Amino acid sequence: MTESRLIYLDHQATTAVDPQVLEAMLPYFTQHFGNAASRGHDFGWAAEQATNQARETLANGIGAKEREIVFTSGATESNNIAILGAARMYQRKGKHLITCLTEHKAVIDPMRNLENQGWEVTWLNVDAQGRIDLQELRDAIRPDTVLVSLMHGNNEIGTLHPIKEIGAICRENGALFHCDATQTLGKEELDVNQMNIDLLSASAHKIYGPKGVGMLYVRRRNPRVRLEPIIYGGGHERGLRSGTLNVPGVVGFAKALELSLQNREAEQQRVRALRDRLQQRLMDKLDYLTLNGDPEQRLACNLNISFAYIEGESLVLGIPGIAVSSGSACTSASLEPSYVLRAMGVGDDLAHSSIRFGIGRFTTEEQIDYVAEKVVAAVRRLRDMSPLYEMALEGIDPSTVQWSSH
Amino acid sequence: MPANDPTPAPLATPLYLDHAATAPPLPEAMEAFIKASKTAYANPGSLHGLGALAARSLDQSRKKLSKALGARNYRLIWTGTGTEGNHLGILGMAERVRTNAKLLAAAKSNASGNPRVLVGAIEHPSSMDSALSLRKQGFDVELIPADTQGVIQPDALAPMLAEDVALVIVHWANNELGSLSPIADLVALTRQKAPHASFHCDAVQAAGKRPESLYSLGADTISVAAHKMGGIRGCAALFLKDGTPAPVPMFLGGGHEYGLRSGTENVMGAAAFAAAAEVRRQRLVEDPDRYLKRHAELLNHLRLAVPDLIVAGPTDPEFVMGSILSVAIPGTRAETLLHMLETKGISCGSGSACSAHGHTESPILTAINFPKEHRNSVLRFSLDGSESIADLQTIEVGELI
Repeated sequence: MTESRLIYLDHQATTAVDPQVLEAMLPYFTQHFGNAASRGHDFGWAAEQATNQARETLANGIGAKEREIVFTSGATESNNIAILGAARMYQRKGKHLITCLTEHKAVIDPMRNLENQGWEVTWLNVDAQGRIDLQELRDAIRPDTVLVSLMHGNNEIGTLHPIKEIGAICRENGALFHCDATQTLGKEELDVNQMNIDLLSASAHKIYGPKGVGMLYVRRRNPRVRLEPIIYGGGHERGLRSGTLNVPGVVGFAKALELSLQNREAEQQRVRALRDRLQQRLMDKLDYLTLNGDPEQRLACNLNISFAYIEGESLVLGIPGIAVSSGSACTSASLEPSYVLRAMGVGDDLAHSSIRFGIGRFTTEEQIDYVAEKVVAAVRRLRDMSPLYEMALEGIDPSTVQWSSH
Repeated sequence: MPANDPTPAPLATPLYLDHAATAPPLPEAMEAFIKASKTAYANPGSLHGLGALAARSLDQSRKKLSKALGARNYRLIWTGTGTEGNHLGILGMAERVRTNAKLLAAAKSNASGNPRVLVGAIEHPSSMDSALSLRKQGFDVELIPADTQGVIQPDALAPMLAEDVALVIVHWANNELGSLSPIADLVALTRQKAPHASFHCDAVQAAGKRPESLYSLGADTISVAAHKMGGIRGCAALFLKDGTPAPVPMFLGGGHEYGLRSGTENVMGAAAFAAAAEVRRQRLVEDPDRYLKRHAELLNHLRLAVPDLIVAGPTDPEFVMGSILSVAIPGTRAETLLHMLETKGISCGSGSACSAHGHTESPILTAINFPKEHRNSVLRFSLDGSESIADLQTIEVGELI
């Protein structure tokens, strides 16, 4: 790293543990470190009590009951249990599932896996802003549809699906609704009853909690949702997810949610203002920018922009010390353009030039101004070297040019 | 902290002897955890500099842990729990080997036509349950009997091995009895008589407590868990032997860990795990018999107070792991004793904490044919390996009965 100053603007990939969260976790490492299943002694009892408290906090945060929360190792595991577990449990009812092309890989991959095993999956399309058509969803649901899996906030472009409406449609038509709320827990309003959500996945490390902990909400009443577990043996988490419970982790998760909810609306406003400021600064100073995602219905912390005529990776490397993402963190090691942007109809060239800025709790206005300045400078530098940009300035659309190979 | 702060008061002068259920994190592990949470908090999958720092931290932890456990010729796959590692080593490998044409051809000629899975009779529920579930997947599952010391002996395995065996599952040490099975011998036997089989070894209890390397075991897949050796919960690993085909993953999405275990990597947990394993390694280098010595002292001490005490588990030194001592005190109920010891500040276990249900008679004691009348009298003491002899002598069982 050439610059000593580090600015982290990748909060949709992961977040740093909040010091208050770490503090809440520490006693469960050092004093109350027992196994929550060791009923015989005080260490185990203290661990179990802490777990119950954490479960209650997390349940309350989404309008659920404690017994409906299953702790997992993260949202990927939660999504897998929800999708594979529901599909396998209800295969007598039918083998049809519905999801969308812009879901996270942790939804897409288990869906593809089920497709290979004889299930039928309807992949809903999205429009240029990443929105689904509710009528298309309504038409897709059939008597043999077991599960609809649609995320709340998109991790790359921030577009929010109207999950309340989606939940109502699923309920009316007798399909279970799984919602991956990894990006919205603690940020957007979430109520599993008002929104008719039957299964909900979330993760601690996206809300300033520790990595390695997640949860799955499983509705117990109206309807009672049953799942076939993936990991069993020991019967922890009511048989849905075996393995020694990560007590400090779940305590940290609960604390993280508590902190997020304490100040949710004010913090959302603050983050949105910072995001809008960054967007405004970039748009004012640079031409040929495209905002990816829904301009209104999107995560307050998310800004995804395509900088035409430059490569996203070059820009990431051109602003050392500033952590932003080109494509989603989970796939950014590959050079494939983002499948999310592709699904929205963004061409490969613009998809390759996209950058995701993720604003967070510790981001300041001063950092935003600094980042805007550095990005503007780097984009100008890169475009100065770009023949395509030059052509664009001369009024030639590079995409219409026929290139000859040689 | 809110008014409903759940943090209970610290316990008074406790002697914690339930390390086999979970061990308190070592200070070195906590330090590594906190350091990583401050410097390596980014997503290791991100391309930027902070992402690279996190990726480097994860990579260092991978190397350190492999080295500390002597996992030469193994690839480390991070998992969330030991249970998950056992699933990957059992269900994931079963799914993989079932495509082996030679195995299937061999299975065609046996009575049922199914490939066979051999599982030790006293495995942890996380292995046992996943092995038994393979019956629904077109495998025949057979139990390998354990002897009365809780050991799976080569003699017991040998007659069961044949070309139609897909999977052999034997843990290194038993969590209730502290008995060691001779894994290297069992693996050698398997290679010889069941060439298509994959061998899974659950080393969750023994790793970090035994001086032998994972390399010396030679199993195809080996599971370990951080929190049993002073790391933190939520981080574990499966070691996959070089050259062994990879298991079919349990979770999908993102393709982390060579595509074998998707999900954002627990960078801080991994750092703590590696640090804990290094400390364990160092302690064993300084004194390879640290557990065995304490085990012997504790047993002597208990025997002086209760001459008719019966050891549940190994008595031959070669099968004693050292960190676990289970004893029956005839004529008592373990739960009563447990609570009485608790009032004196001594925490130990009865049966396995890992099965969340409790209260039923231990299937392990049944499987080793432990005298029926003493099965409800078994206490399990499990050690950190740094207790002083004087500490261990504070356990006054005699006056409790």
